[in-house]
Amino acid sequence: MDLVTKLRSQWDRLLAVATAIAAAGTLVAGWFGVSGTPYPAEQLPYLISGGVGGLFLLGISAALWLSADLQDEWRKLDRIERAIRERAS
Amino acid sequence: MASPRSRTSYFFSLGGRRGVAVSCMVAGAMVLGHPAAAGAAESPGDGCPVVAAARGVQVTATASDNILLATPTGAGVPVAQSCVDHGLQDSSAYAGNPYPGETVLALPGMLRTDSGQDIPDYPAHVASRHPAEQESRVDEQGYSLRASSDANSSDASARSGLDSDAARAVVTLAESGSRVDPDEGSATATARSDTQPLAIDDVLQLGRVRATASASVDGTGDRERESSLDIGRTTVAGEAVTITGDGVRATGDGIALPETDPAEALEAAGIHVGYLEESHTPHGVLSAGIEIVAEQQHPDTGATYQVRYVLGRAFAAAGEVSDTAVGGGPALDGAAAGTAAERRAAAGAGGTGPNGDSPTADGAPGDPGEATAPEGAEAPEQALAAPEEGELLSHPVDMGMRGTYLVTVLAALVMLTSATLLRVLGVRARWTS
Repeated sequence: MDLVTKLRSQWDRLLAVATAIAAAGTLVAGWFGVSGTPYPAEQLPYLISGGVGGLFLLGISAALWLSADLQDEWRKLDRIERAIRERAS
Repeated sequence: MASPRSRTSYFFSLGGRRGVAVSCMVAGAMVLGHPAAAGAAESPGDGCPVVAAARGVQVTATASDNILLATPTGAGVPVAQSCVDHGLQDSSAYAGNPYPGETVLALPGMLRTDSGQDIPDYPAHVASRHPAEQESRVDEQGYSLRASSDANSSDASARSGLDSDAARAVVTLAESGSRVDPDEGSATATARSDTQPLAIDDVLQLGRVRATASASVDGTGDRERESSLDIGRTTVAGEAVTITGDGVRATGDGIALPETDPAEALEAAGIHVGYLEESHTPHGVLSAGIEIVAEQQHPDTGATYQVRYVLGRAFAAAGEVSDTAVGGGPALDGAAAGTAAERRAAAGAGGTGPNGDSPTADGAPGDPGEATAPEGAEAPEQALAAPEEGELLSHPVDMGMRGTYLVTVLAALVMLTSATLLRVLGVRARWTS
């Protein structure tokens, strides 16, 4: 299997990694934003964008990774089914 | 069924994933135990360290035959309060006439949200907060209110009354100012209350009442507190009297004492006059004041009507200014310890405290060993012993934005841990039945 095919088959894992990195970056950036100003009115946008946004991205990442794991299971089941059919025929 | 060997290897194969989960939990614990988080949680929050509050007259009414007035209800006329919290970089002030308390002030906004109707805000109130709204002013017939705030100082003044020159016009003034000098590490708070002559039931003619309170602290931590109460010429049934801690006494000055004891004359008219002693708090002082309770009973129904006036209360407190500013850590030495006490004292002098305490509470906590608390005040132990531990949980915003953000990050770590556990134990676990 060449690299492109492998990457294409693992698109969900790649996306999960990308969103996890984005979530980490968002959380760190949000933290610097919140700690960079003493005024709650200026901290609130960072809290919402950085904190809640990072949380949302992390949730997407976790869901994608779990989805990829489930797809592995289904692929394995497909292989088992195919092997049984081939043996039966 | 898996053999012991395969099971052992299975657990070892999970080691890396479990390591991730354990790492997440450890990271979460570290976040909770981080000094920044702890500092955010210990932040003084709504306890203002440099605060001044003044009130012209506090009027509280009760009526036994009215369900709305069955419990004491009242307002300060007028009220001015200023606060500077250098540690939180917060500077704010407000003035109201009358000041009905936080609950009433917030009511129009709540009704607007619920009903969708264009309900105007309470008009006789101005507020300022640095940097959002640096100055606010209202000049209307009968009252004038002003509040201004900058980074290191806040001032508020409220004046009520139609004409200060008119004879017997009830004009009251309340002024407060709080300022911090971060370079010198000093703080000053001053409050002033000035009430023009007031007549109650045509029996008691109270002269001009002026109360001041000031508190300051310098860079070395030396603190000064001063307060005063001046009462102008006061008469009871036409006889000049003085009001002191010993009660209402007729002033002799070589003139024959009146045949009637002024206290008896007041009692016959259903008026009780009390002197509220000056009271010290850990960082400030609450000036002396006068309490007048006028009680009448309806001859037919027997219903009791009571109006309570408190005049001449000014409060000022100055906590020490620390070099550490901005952020979650407490910036004022001992500010947290004095928070509850001084919040109550400020509420007693200038209306509601930051938590919306009732403005009718007039008591102030005493400083153990320094002064006697006014009548109706809480015992010093009660006032100082409870920095309200449960308050943080009921007001999560008090953790500060940093604390709230760290909680959000912790939630992210919990989510990551849960997803990892779900994956390891639910999806990737081998079928061993």
